[in-house]
Amino acid sequence: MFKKPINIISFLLLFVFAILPLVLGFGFAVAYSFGLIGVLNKGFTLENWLALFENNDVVISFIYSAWLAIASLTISVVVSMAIAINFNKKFSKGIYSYLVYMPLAFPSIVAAFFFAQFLGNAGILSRICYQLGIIDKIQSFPNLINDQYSIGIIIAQFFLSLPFFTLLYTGLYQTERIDDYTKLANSLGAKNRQSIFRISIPILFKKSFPNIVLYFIFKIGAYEVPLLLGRSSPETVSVLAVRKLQKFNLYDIPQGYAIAVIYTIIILSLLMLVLKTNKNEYDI
Amino acid sequence: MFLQVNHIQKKYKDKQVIQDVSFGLEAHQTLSILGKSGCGKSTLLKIIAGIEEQDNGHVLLNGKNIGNIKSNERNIVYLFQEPLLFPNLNVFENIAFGLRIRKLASADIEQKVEEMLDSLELKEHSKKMPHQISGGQKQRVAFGRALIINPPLILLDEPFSSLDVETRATMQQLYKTIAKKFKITALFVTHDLKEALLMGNRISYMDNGLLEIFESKKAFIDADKTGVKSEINFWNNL
Repeated sequence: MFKKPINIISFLLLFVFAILPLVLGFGFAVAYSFGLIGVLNKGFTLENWLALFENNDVVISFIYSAWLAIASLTISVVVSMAIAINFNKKFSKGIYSYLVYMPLAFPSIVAAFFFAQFLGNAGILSRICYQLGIIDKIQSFPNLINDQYSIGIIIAQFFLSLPFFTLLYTGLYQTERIDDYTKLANSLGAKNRQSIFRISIPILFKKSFPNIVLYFIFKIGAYEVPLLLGRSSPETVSVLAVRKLQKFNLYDIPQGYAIAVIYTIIILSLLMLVLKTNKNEYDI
Repeated sequence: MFLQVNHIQKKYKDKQVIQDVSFGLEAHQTLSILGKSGCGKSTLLKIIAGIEEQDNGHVLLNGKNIGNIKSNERNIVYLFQEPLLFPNLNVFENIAFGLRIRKLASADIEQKVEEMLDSLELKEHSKKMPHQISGGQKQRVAFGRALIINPPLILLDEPFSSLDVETRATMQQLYKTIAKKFKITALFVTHDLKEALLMGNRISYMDNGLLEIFESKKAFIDADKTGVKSEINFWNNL
């Protein structure tokens, strides 16, 4: 299995710092959720899991988190792909290549506060619209924070993920030689729109699919932005899990761990999907 | 003349890549263009294909000036040095690409692509993705993709340069066969002496942005600048 000592060392480092903490954490969460450990637990029980599914809160929470991640990711992917295809030269050098990094410097919590101030009912945008005479009262501005459709969360998440995808797609545009493929498609008779939809977008999407799934995993676990900009119901998975783990009722803690177990299983399944997708890519 | 190129000039920044190139080519003929790297031969092909724009001169195809026609409307196919198969499409769909964008009926597309796969001995690979086939097979797919739309002119930019000697020889033979079968009119750019002699009905030499077409293969061999004589001497003195 290990041909060189360096392989044993690298495997041990990977095991100690990456696999072991994950396995221990997951094992602890499983044991806690089934009542095997924990101060208030009294031995193996399914009660915590049954209690968790007594109402639809957990299912709704997962669907809601997935919806937020999918909505913000879809907008980010579409906008950044459009930027890469139409303005790739501008974003590969010069001032634009620096500007695109700006939102990366914003921690999620800062972005969440900014959008709370900017998009709120009496926020900056509302006041600008009032001063411009677009609305007759400041309060007439549509509610984009803690709103029914989670527009504030989606905008904030979009803002945070746009630079990542713009950099990804402008990089892929160069490395995957989209320009050459476009010229070739045109030479075979394709109009610009046809080469974009039949060649550029499918290549960029296929190449970025693992990144999209990984970013989805990252976004489905988002905490600060939904906490500050979202409603109290429905809650995202992370907000619900933290409430169960840290808030008032100590008997809810095993349910918090049960949510963490479900979340981990979903994430690991998605990672398996990514690994399977990347498999079998070889050149003869 | 089927293809007539008149006084083409092209400059990149300070460098005059093409000085003044004029030539004509009859239909169903292949003109080999031999030249060293950077002599302007790829630029000449790109200008004819409409990928690059010339500073001066014009290109006539079948008597019609195609200078103002976009590359996708010229119906001239430019084959790059590498096969550049679309990585998101399998072999069948790569060949079918030109027909799909012309919105042909599915049954017609299937029939034409099957025939082309047969001609190129690629039938068993039709469902494979580009990364699952060899370099020679990729190049054959690239040919099939170009030929299936029946272009009046094909521009081949060192299409076999990345292949090993054996595959290259096979592909040269294949090109000769399909050029005859499909009555291809083509410009074949290469930096390989033997390939230039083998592939073209007519042979030309490009140097420093100037193109010279030779009357015959003998004239090409006798000219000092083509390097054929020094190559013959090398093998004779070995």
